[in-house]
Amino acid sequence: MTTRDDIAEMIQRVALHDRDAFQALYSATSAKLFGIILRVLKDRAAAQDVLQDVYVRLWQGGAETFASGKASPISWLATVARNRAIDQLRKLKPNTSLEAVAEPVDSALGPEGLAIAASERALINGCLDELEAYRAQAVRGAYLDGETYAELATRFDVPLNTMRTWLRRSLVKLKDCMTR
Amino acid sequence: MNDATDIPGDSGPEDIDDVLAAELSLGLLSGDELSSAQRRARIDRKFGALVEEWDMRFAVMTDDIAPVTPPKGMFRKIKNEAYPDSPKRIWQQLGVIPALLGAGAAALILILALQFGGLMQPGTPIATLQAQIVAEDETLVVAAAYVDQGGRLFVERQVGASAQGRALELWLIADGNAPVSLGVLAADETISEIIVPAPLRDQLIGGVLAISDEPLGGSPTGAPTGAVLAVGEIAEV
Repeated sequence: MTTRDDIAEMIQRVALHDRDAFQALYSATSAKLFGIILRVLKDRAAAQDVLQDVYVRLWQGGAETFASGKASPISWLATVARNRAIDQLRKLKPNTSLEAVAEPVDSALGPEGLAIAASERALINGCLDELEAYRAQAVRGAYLDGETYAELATRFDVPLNTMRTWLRRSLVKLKDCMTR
Repeated sequence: MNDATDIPGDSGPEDIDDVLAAELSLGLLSGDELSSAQRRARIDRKFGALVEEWDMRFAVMTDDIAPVTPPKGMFRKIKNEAYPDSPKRIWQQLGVIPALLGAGAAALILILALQFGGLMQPGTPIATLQAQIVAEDETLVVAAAYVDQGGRLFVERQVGASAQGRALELWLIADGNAPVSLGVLAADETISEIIVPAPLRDQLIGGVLAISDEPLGGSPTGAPTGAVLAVGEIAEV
Protein backbone atom coordinates (compact mmCIF):
# COMPACT_ATOMS: atom_id res chain seq x y z
CA MET A 1 0.00 0.00 0.00
CA THR A 2 1.40 3.34 -1.02
CA THR A 3 1.26 5.88 1.76
CA ARG A 4 1.10 9.62 1.64
CA ASP A 5 4.73 9.80 2.69
CA ASP A 6 5.69 7.43 -0.11
CA ILE A 7 4.03 9.72 -2.65
CA ALA A 8 5.73 12.78 -1.17
CA GLU A 9 9.08 11.05 -1.42
CA MET A 10 8.40 10.00 -5.01
CA ILE A 11 7.62 13.59 -5.97
CA GLN A 12 10.84 14.77 -4.36
CA ARG A 13 12.83 12.13 -6.16
CA VAL A 14 11.15 13.00 -9.45
CA ALA A 15 12.36 16.55 -8.87
CA LEU A 16 15.87 15.01 -8.88
CA HIS A 17 15.08 13.18 -12.13
CA ASP A 18 14.96 9.73 -10.60
CA ARG A 19 13.38 7.58 -13.31
CA ASP A 20 12.37 4.73 -11.04
CA ALA A 21 10.55 7.22 -8.85
CA PHE A 22 8.83 8.69 -11.90
CA GLN A 23 7.58 5.28 -12.93
CA ALA A 24 6.45 4.55 -9.37
CA LEU A 25 4.70 7.90 -9.07
CA TYR A 26 2.90 7.29 -12.34
CA SER A 27 1.80 3.83 -11.25
CA ALA A 28 0.58 5.07 -7.91
CA THR A 29 -1.23 8.22 -9.01
CA SER A 30 -2.11 8.18 -12.71
CA ALA A 31 -5.51 6.49 -12.33
CA LYS A 32 -6.54 9.02 -9.72
CA LEU A 33 -5.40 11.97 -11.81
CA PHE A 34 -6.93 10.53 -14.98
CA GLY A 35 -10.24 10.18 -13.12
CA ILE A 36 -10.11 13.83 -12.11
CA ILE A 37 -9.14 15.08 -15.56
CA LEU A 38 -11.81 12.93 -17.21
CA ARG A 39 -14.38 14.26 -14.77
CA VAL A 40 -13.54 17.84 -15.75
CA LEU A 41 -13.14 17.35 -19.49
CA LYS A 42 -15.62 14.52 -20.10
CA ASP A 43 -13.63 13.62 -23.20
CA ARG A 44 -11.24 10.72 -23.22
CA ALA A 45 -8.88 11.91 -25.94
CA ALA A 46 -8.56 15.38 -24.45
CA ALA A 47 -8.11 13.88 -20.98
CA GLN A 48 -5.26 11.69 -22.21
CA ASP A 49 -3.46 14.70 -23.62
CA VAL A 50 -3.80 16.58 -20.36
CA LEU A 51 -2.67 13.59 -18.30
CA GLN A 52 0.43 13.27 -20.46
CA ASP A 53 1.10 16.98 -20.11
CA VAL A 54 0.71 16.84 -16.33
CA TYR A 55 3.36 14.14 -15.92
CA VAL A 56 5.75 15.61 -18.48
CA ARG A 57 5.61 18.93 -16.65
CA LEU A 58 6.15 17.23 -13.32
CA TRP A 59 9.29 15.71 -14.73
CA GLN A 60 10.43 18.92 -16.37
CA GLY A 61 10.56 20.95 -13.17
CA GLY A 62 7.00 20.89 -11.86
CA ALA A 63 7.90 18.45 -9.11
CA GLU A 64 10.42 20.94 -7.74
CA THR A 65 7.61 23.29 -6.78
CA PHE A 66 6.13 20.74 -4.40
CA ALA A 67 6.75 21.93 -0.86
CA SER A 68 6.93 18.85 1.28
CA GLY A 69 5.34 18.83 4.68
CA LYS A 70 3.08 21.69 3.77
CA ALA A 71 0.63 20.05 1.47
CA SER A 72 -0.81 16.61 1.11
CA PRO A 73 0.98 15.22 -1.93
CA ILE A 74 -2.21 13.72 -3.34
CA SER A 75 -4.10 16.99 -2.94
CA TRP A 76 -1.20 18.79 -4.54
CA LEU A 77 -1.18 16.44 -7.52
CA ALA A 78 -4.97 16.59 -7.73
CA THR A 79 -4.77 20.39 -7.87
CA VAL A 80 -2.18 20.30 -10.62
CA ALA A 81 -4.32 17.89 -12.64
CA ARG A 82 -7.54 19.78 -12.04
CA ASN A 83 -5.99 23.12 -12.95
CA ARG A 84 -4.52 21.77 -16.19
CA ALA A 85 -7.85 20.19 -17.06
CA ILE A 86 -9.72 23.44 -16.39
CA ASP A 87 -7.20 25.36 -18.52
CA GLN A 88 -7.81 22.92 -21.34
CA LEU A 89 -11.57 23.10 -20.86
CA ARG A 90 -11.42 26.88 -21.20
CA LYS A 91 -9.35 26.58 -24.33
CA LEU A 92 -11.86 24.21 -25.86
CA LYS A 93 -14.87 26.15 -24.67
CA PRO A 94 -15.15 28.81 -27.38
CA ASN A 95 -15.89 26.00 -29.82
CA THR A 96 -18.54 24.52 -27.63
CA SER A 97 -21.79 26.07 -26.56
CA LEU A 98 -22.32 26.50 -22.83
CA GLU A 99 -25.24 24.08 -23.02
CA ALA A 100 -23.04 21.41 -24.51
CA VAL A 101 -20.43 21.84 -21.80
CA ALA A 102 -23.00 21.74 -19.03
CA GLU A 103 -24.67 18.63 -20.37
CA PRO A 104 -24.43 15.67 -18.06
CA VAL A 105 -22.19 12.77 -18.91
CA ASP A 106 -24.28 10.37 -20.92
CA SER A 107 -24.06 6.66 -21.39
CA ALA A 108 -21.59 7.15 -24.25
CA LEU A 109 -18.94 7.05 -21.56
CA GLY A 110 -20.10 3.58 -20.62
CA PRO A 111 -19.20 2.08 -17.28
CA GLU A 112 -16.55 4.73 -16.80
CA GLY A 113 -19.09 7.50 -17.07
CA LEU A 114 -21.38 5.70 -14.71
CA ALA A 115 -18.55 5.31 -12.24
CA ILE A 116 -17.87 9.02 -12.49
CA ALA A 117 -21.52 9.80 -11.93
CA ALA A 118 -21.58 7.50 -8.93
CA SER A 119 -18.49 9.12 -7.50
CA GLU A 120 -20.10 12.51 -7.96
CA ARG A 121 -23.04 11.38 -5.93
CA ALA A 122 -20.57 10.27 -3.34
CA LEU A 123 -18.81 13.61 -3.54
CA ILE A 124 -20.32 14.97 -0.41
CA ASN A 125 -17.85 16.70 1.74
CA GLY A 126 -18.95 17.75 5.15
CA CYS A 127 -18.34 21.42 4.84
CA LEU A 128 -19.99 21.81 1.49
CA ASP A 129 -22.98 20.09 3.03
CA GLU A 130 -23.19 22.85 5.57
CA LEU A 131 -23.78 25.30 2.76
CA GLU A 132 -27.18 25.66 1.24
CA ALA A 133 -27.51 23.16 -1.58
CA TYR A 134 -27.44 25.61 -4.45
CA ARG A 135 -24.35 27.34 -3.11
CA ALA A 136 -22.50 24.08 -2.70
CA GLN A 137 -23.56 23.27 -6.24
CA ALA A 138 -22.12 26.56 -7.44
CA VAL A 139 -18.81 25.89 -5.68
CA ARG A 140 -18.62 22.42 -7.23
CA GLY A 141 -19.62 23.82 -10.59
CA ALA A 142 -16.77 26.27 -10.44
CA TYR A 143 -14.26 23.68 -9.27
CA LEU A 144 -15.09 20.73 -11.47
CA ASP A 145 -16.83 22.31 -14.46
CA GLY A 146 -14.74 25.44 -14.69
CA GLU A 147 -17.72 27.73 -14.43
CA THR A 148 -16.90 31.38 -13.87
CA TYR A 149 -19.04 33.91 -12.03
CA ALA A 150 -20.61 34.96 -15.30
CA GLU A 151 -21.50 31.40 -16.27
CA LEU A 152 -22.82 30.52 -12.84
CA ALA A 153 -24.97 33.65 -12.85
CA THR A 154 -26.48 32.52 -16.15
CA ARG A 155 -27.00 28.96 -14.96
CA PHE A 156 -28.67 30.00 -11.70
CA ASP A 157 -30.44 32.87 -13.43
CA VAL A 158 -29.36 35.54 -10.97
CA PRO A 159 -27.55 38.84 -11.50
CA LEU A 160 -23.79 38.61 -11.62
CA ASN A 161 -23.35 40.58 -8.42
CA THR A 162 -25.75 38.33 -6.57
CA MET A 163 -23.72 35.33 -7.67
CA ARG A 164 -20.56 36.99 -6.46
CA THR A 165 -22.12 37.73 -3.11
CA TRP A 166 -23.42 34.17 -2.70
CA LEU A 167 -20.15 32.65 -3.49
CA ARG A 168 -18.01 35.00 -1.47
CA ARG A 169 -20.16 34.36 1.57
CA SER A 170 -20.01 30.65 0.86
CA LEU A 171 -16.24 30.76 0.67
CA VAL A 172 -15.96 32.52 4.00
CA LYS A 173 -18.27 29.94 5.56
CA LEU A 174 -16.40 27.12 3.94
CA LYS A 175 -13.13 28.30 5.37
CA ASP A 176 -14.63 28.73 8.83
CA CYS A 177 -15.93 25.21 8.65
CA MET A 178 -12.72 23.70 7.33
CA THR A 179 -10.40 25.41 9.75
CA ARG A 180 -12.36 24.86 12.90
CA MET B 1 -32.86 35.42 -1.53
CA ASN B 2 -32.15 38.67 0.16
CA ASP B 3 -28.44 38.28 0.48
CA ALA B 4 -27.48 40.68 -2.26
CA THR B 5 -26.70 43.14 0.51
CA ASP B 6 -24.72 40.94 2.83
CA ILE B 7 -21.34 41.23 1.20
CA PRO B 8 -18.89 40.63 4.02
CA GLY B 9 -18.57 44.38 4.41
CA ASP B 10 -16.95 44.36 7.83
CA SER B 11 -14.03 42.25 6.71
CA GLY B 12 -10.53 43.62 6.88
CA PRO B 13 -8.05 43.67 4.02
CA GLU B 14 -6.77 40.22 4.97
CA ASP B 15 -10.20 38.71 4.58
CA ILE B 16 -10.61 40.44 1.26
CA ASP B 17 -7.32 38.94 0.13
CA ASP B 18 -8.40 35.56 1.38
CA VAL B 19 -11.64 35.70 -0.58
CA LEU B 20 -9.75 36.82 -3.67
CA ALA B 21 -7.33 33.90 -3.20
CA ALA B 22 -10.30 31.54 -2.96
CA GLU B 23 -11.84 33.01 -6.09
CA LEU B 24 -8.60 32.56 -7.98
CA SER B 25 -8.11 29.02 -6.72
CA LEU B 26 -11.67 28.08 -7.60
CA GLY B 27 -11.35 29.58 -11.05
CA LEU B 28 -14.17 32.08 -10.75
CA LEU B 29 -12.29 35.04 -12.11
CA SER B 30 -12.02 35.99 -15.72
CA GLY B 31 -10.52 38.76 -17.84
CA ASP B 32 -8.52 41.48 -16.09
CA GLU B 33 -9.45 40.29 -12.62
CA LEU B 34 -7.97 36.91 -13.45
CA SER B 35 -4.72 38.17 -14.91
CA SER B 36 -4.10 40.63 -12.09
CA ALA B 37 -4.81 37.99 -9.42
CA GLN B 38 -2.52 35.51 -11.22
CA ARG B 39 0.24 38.07 -11.37
CA ARG B 40 -0.17 38.83 -7.72
CA ALA B 41 -0.02 35.15 -6.77
CA ARG B 42 3.35 34.96 -8.48
CA ILE B 43 4.95 38.01 -6.90
CA ASP B 44 3.19 38.33 -3.52
CA ARG B 45 4.32 35.35 -1.50
CA LYS B 46 1.75 35.85 1.24
CA PHE B 47 -1.07 35.97 -1.26
CA GLY B 48 0.39 32.99 -3.10
CA ALA B 49 0.34 31.03 0.16
CA LEU B 50 -3.34 31.89 0.65
CA VAL B 51 -4.08 30.57 -2.84
CA GLU B 52 -2.23 27.35 -2.04
CA GLU B 53 -4.18 26.90 1.16
CA TRP B 54 -7.39 27.19 -0.81
CA ASP B 55 -6.07 24.78 -3.43
CA MET B 56 -5.64 22.22 -0.70
CA ARG B 57 -9.10 22.85 0.73
CA PHE B 58 -10.81 22.57 -2.65
CA ALA B 59 -8.84 19.48 -3.58
CA VAL B 60 -11.04 17.63 -1.10
CA MET B 61 -13.69 17.80 -3.80
CA THR B 62 -11.65 15.32 -5.83
CA ASP B 63 -11.50 12.77 -3.01
CA ASP B 64 -14.49 10.80 -4.16
CA ILE B 65 -13.83 10.91 -7.88
CA ALA B 66 -13.28 7.32 -8.93
CA PRO B 67 -9.85 6.50 -10.39
CA VAL B 68 -9.84 5.57 -14.07
CA THR B 69 -6.90 3.57 -15.37
CA PRO B 70 -5.29 5.43 -18.27
CA PRO B 71 -4.72 3.53 -21.51
CA LYS B 72 -1.73 1.25 -21.80
CA GLY B 73 1.23 2.88 -23.44
CA MET B 74 0.54 6.25 -21.86
CA PHE B 75 3.62 6.16 -19.66
CA ARG B 76 5.74 5.28 -22.65
CA LYS B 77 4.46 8.39 -24.40
CA ILE B 78 5.22 10.44 -21.31
CA LYS B 79 8.78 9.12 -21.16
CA ASN B 80 9.23 9.83 -24.84
CA GLU B 81 8.22 13.39 -24.23
CA ALA B 82 10.06 13.89 -20.96
CA TYR B 83 13.39 12.11 -21.07
CA PRO B 84 16.18 13.95 -22.84
CA ASP B 85 17.54 10.79 -24.44
CA SER B 86 14.19 9.56 -25.70
CA PRO B 87 13.90 9.25 -29.46
CA LYS B 88 11.52 12.17 -29.68
CA ARG B 89 13.82 14.44 -27.72
CA ILE B 90 16.85 13.42 -29.75
CA TRP B 91 15.08 14.62 -32.85
CA GLN B 92 13.84 17.72 -31.05
CA GLN B 93 17.41 18.57 -30.15
CA LEU B 94 18.26 18.20 -33.77
CA GLY B 95 15.53 20.63 -34.66
CA VAL B 96 13.98 17.93 -36.75
CA ILE B 97 10.63 17.52 -35.07
CA PRO B 98 8.91 20.63 -36.47
CA ALA B 99 9.48 19.41 -40.00
CA LEU B 100 8.21 15.99 -39.11
CA LEU B 101 4.73 16.72 -37.91
CA GLY B 102 2.17 14.31 -39.24
CA ALA B 103 2.44 10.76 -40.35
CA GLY B 104 6.19 10.98 -40.94
CA ALA B 105 6.81 11.92 -37.33
CA ALA B 106 4.70 9.08 -36.05
CA ALA B 107 6.54 6.59 -38.21
CA LEU B 108 9.93 7.92 -37.26
CA ILE B 109 9.18 7.91 -33.58
CA LEU B 110 7.80 4.42 -33.82
CA ILE B 111 10.90 3.17 -35.57
CA LEU B 112 13.22 4.91 -33.15
CA ALA B 113 11.16 3.72 -30.20
CA LEU B 114 11.65 0.17 -31.45
CA GLN B 115 15.34 0.81 -31.74
CA PHE B 116 15.65 2.27 -28.28
CA GLY B 117 12.71 0.61 -26.61
CA GLY B 118 14.76 -1.83 -24.62
CA LEU B 119 17.37 0.70 -23.75
CA MET B 120 15.31 3.39 -22.09
CA GLN B 121 17.43 3.24 -18.99
CA PRO B 122 20.04 5.50 -17.55
CA GLY B 123 22.92 5.34 -19.99
CA THR B 124 20.71 5.09 -23.06
CA PRO B 125 22.71 6.31 -26.04
CA ILE B 126 21.92 9.72 -27.35
CA ALA B 127 22.53 11.19 -30.74
CA THR B 128 25.92 12.85 -30.74
CA LEU B 129 26.11 13.95 -34.35
CA GLN B 130 23.63 15.31 -36.81
CA ALA B 131 23.44 16.65 -40.31
CA GLN B 132 20.96 18.39 -42.54
CA ILE B 133 21.57 17.32 -46.10
CA VAL B 134 19.84 19.86 -48.27
CA ALA B 135 19.76 20.48 -52.02
CA GLU B 136 20.51 24.01 -53.11
CA ASP B 137 16.97 24.48 -54.35
CA GLU B 138 15.62 22.56 -51.34
CA THR B 139 13.90 19.95 -53.50
CA LEU B 140 15.65 17.32 -51.41
CA VAL B 141 15.94 17.64 -47.64
CA VAL B 142 17.29 14.81 -45.53
CA ALA B 143 17.99 14.83 -41.80
CA ALA B 144 20.44 12.49 -40.18
CA ALA B 145 21.20 11.66 -36.56
CA TYR B 146 24.05 9.47 -35.43
CA VAL B 147 24.02 7.39 -32.27
CA ASP B 148 27.43 6.24 -31.03
CA GLN B 149 26.18 2.99 -29.65
CA GLY B 150 26.19 0.52 -32.51
CA GLY B 151 27.32 3.22 -34.93
CA ARG B 152 23.78 3.79 -36.07
CA LEU B 153 22.85 6.60 -38.41
CA PHE B 154 19.15 7.39 -38.66
CA VAL B 155 18.27 9.13 -41.88
CA GLU B 156 14.96 10.81 -42.53
CA ARG B 157 14.02 11.87 -46.06
CA GLN B 158 11.85 14.89 -45.38
CA VAL B 159 11.46 16.47 -48.77
CA GLY B 160 11.95 14.88 -52.19
CA ALA B 161 12.57 11.38 -53.45
CA SER B 162 14.62 9.54 -56.01
CA ALA B 163 13.72 9.94 -59.66
CA GLN B 164 11.68 7.19 -61.32
CA GLY B 165 13.82 4.06 -61.63
CA ARG B 166 16.75 5.66 -59.78
CA ALA B 167 18.09 5.53 -56.23
CA LEU B 168 19.44 8.00 -53.70
CA GLU B 169 22.82 6.98 -52.31
CA LEU B 170 24.39 8.42 -49.17
CA TRP B 171 28.12 9.15 -49.08
CA LEU B 172 30.56 10.13 -46.41
CA ILE B 173 33.27 12.53 -47.47
CA ALA B 174 35.84 12.76 -44.73
CA ASP B 175 38.79 15.08 -44.63
CA GLY B 176 38.93 15.60 -48.37
CA ASN B 177 39.06 11.86 -49.02
CA ALA B 178 37.13 10.23 -51.81
CA PRO B 179 33.44 9.66 -51.01
CA VAL B 180 32.70 6.35 -49.29
CA SER B 181 29.25 4.88 -49.74
CA LEU B 182 27.13 4.49 -46.62
CA GLY B 183 24.30 2.88 -48.51
CA VAL B 184 21.20 3.52 -50.56
CA LEU B 185 18.26 5.28 -48.93
CA ALA B 186 15.08 3.29 -48.74
CA ALA B 187 12.76 4.35 -51.56
CA ASP B 188 9.50 3.11 -50.10
CA GLU B 189 10.11 4.51 -46.62
CA THR B 190 11.19 7.95 -45.50
CA ILE B 191 13.44 6.63 -42.75
CA SER B 192 16.51 4.51 -43.18
CA GLU B 193 18.79 3.13 -40.51
CA ILE B 194 22.34 2.72 -41.62
CA ILE B 195 25.07 1.00 -39.64
CA VAL B 196 28.23 2.97 -40.21
CA PRO B 197 31.18 0.57 -40.65
CA ALA B 198 33.48 0.74 -37.63
CA PRO B 199 36.53 2.15 -39.47
CA LEU B 200 34.47 5.09 -40.71
CA ARG B 201 32.95 6.09 -37.40
CA ASP B 202 35.86 8.25 -36.30
CA GLN B 203 35.79 10.08 -39.59
CA LEU B 204 32.26 11.37 -39.16
CA ILE B 205 33.16 14.38 -37.04
CA GLY B 206 34.04 17.22 -39.36
CA GLY B 207 32.97 15.19 -42.38
CA VAL B 208 30.30 15.82 -44.94
CA LEU B 209 27.33 13.71 -45.97
CA ALA B 210 26.26 13.85 -49.58
CA ILE B 211 23.47 12.28 -51.59
CA SER B 212 23.84 11.40 -55.24
CA ASP B 213 21.51 10.19 -57.96
CA GLU B 214 22.40 6.58 -58.82
CA PRO B 215 21.01 3.57 -60.64
CA LEU B 216 18.71 1.28 -58.65
CA GLY B 217 20.77 -0.61 -56.11
CA GLY B 218 23.39 2.09 -55.96
CA SER B 219 26.53 3.05 -57.80
CA PRO B 220 28.05 0.06 -59.61
CA THR B 221 31.55 1.48 -59.32
CA GLY B 222 31.86 2.31 -55.62
CA ALA B 223 32.11 6.01 -56.44
CA PRO B 224 29.30 8.44 -57.20
CA THR B 225 28.30 8.17 -60.84
CA GLY B 226 25.34 10.54 -60.97
CA ALA B 227 24.76 14.11 -59.90
CA VAL B 228 25.43 15.09 -56.31
CA LEU B 229 22.01 16.35 -55.29
CA ALA B 230 22.50 17.50 -51.72
CA VAL B 231 25.29 18.06 -49.23
CA GLY B 232 25.39 18.66 -45.47
CA GLU B 233 28.10 19.03 -42.89
CA ILE B 234 28.14 16.70 -39.93
CA ALA B 235 27.95 18.65 -36.72
CA GLU B 236 28.09 17.70 -33.08
CA VAL B 237 24.73 17.90 -31.34
